Amino acid sequence: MNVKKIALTVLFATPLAALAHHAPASWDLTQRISVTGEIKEVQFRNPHGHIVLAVKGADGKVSDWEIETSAANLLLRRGWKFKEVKVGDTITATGHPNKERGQYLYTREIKLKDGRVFGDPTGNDKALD
Amino acid sequence: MRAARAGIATLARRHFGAAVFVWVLAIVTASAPAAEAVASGQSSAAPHAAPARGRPARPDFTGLWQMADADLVVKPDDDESNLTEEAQRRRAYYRANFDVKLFDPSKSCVPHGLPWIMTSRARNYVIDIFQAPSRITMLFEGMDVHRLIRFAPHVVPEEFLPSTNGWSTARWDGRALVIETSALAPRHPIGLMQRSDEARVTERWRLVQHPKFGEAIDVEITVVDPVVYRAPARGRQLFVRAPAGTVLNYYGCNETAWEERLARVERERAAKETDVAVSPPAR
Repeated sequence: MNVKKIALTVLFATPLAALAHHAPASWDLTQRISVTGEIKEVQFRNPHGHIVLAVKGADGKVSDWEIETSAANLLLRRGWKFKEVKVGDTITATGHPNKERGQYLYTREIKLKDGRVFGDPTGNDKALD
Repeated sequence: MRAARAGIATLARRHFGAAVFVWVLAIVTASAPAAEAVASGQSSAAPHAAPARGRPARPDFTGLWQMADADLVVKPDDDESNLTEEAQRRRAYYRANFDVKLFDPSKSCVPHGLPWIMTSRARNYVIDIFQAPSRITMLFEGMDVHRLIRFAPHVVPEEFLPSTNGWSTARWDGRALVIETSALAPRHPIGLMQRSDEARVTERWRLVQHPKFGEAIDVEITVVDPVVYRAPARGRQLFVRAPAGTVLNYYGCNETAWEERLARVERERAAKETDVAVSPPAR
């Protein structure tokens, strides 16, 4: 099997999970931004979870933001309470914007309406996990 | 009589220091196994922790561990100048033809295997180590991987299928555990992490007291793989005890991949069909 054939085989055999999971290079680790919105979807899982937020823009229009989270196992270890992050809740997510896609954030912490924060107390912005 | 008393006094003065040294040495030697048991967090009542008569106490690595600090980790292939021309060519091909942000095996739930499974820089993932007289079992939370290390001569059974963690055997070198691994399956030539079927990995585990992190497993790794490395490649990792109360969870990466694939197919189907005759089942 030559290299081109190998390349094609790998290309077509790559599971779609690869397309939903991003390396640190995809995210601007030098920036942190916050967005507030209502949760439309939420899934905490491994290797990464995601939240879809309906966010009202400056023009008053509501559009979706995709919020990627760290692995569910790690979030649990960092004190996140998944049952308290529900569809319909309003939260503020703070994290790194994606370099290639707008309205797409890798979250470092979320703030609930009652002021509680689920985050990553021992983390830093050198790497994602 | 007087001369005899003077002689005894002289002897006592001359050898007092030596006697005190021998006495202190005896106390330290007798208490050493207990100190090790405390240091390793294990009860000396555990059968495998009890030293055999006349042999030194061995460290017990049993427990939940996690990476101490990503900055202390050395991966054997961090030093690209030690890669063979062939390995460098393969890396260059991968970087030139694949989006490295997408085509990372871990993002497709593929475990890295040795040596990378021992040199991960990922924070907060735990490894459960069970040490028994015949073997050590390691359960890695990330990707739900297991690894077996047998206390036995390094003879790979004929029926063993080469795998990403290979066949590992261990022996003691004093208080260090030396682990030899072979029968490693070659990794696909496209990618950053390369390993041929000629790879052999040697690890040296030591239970240490780290000045910053306390009790730790200091792991030194040497990879010999003439297809990939010009010279034996070195790696390093420091594992520390996971905080009390830490739970080893199932990871389920493949389940996520499967469900995402189903969801994607459904989205594509919905995009193609404006009239959906049959609604998908509710979850």
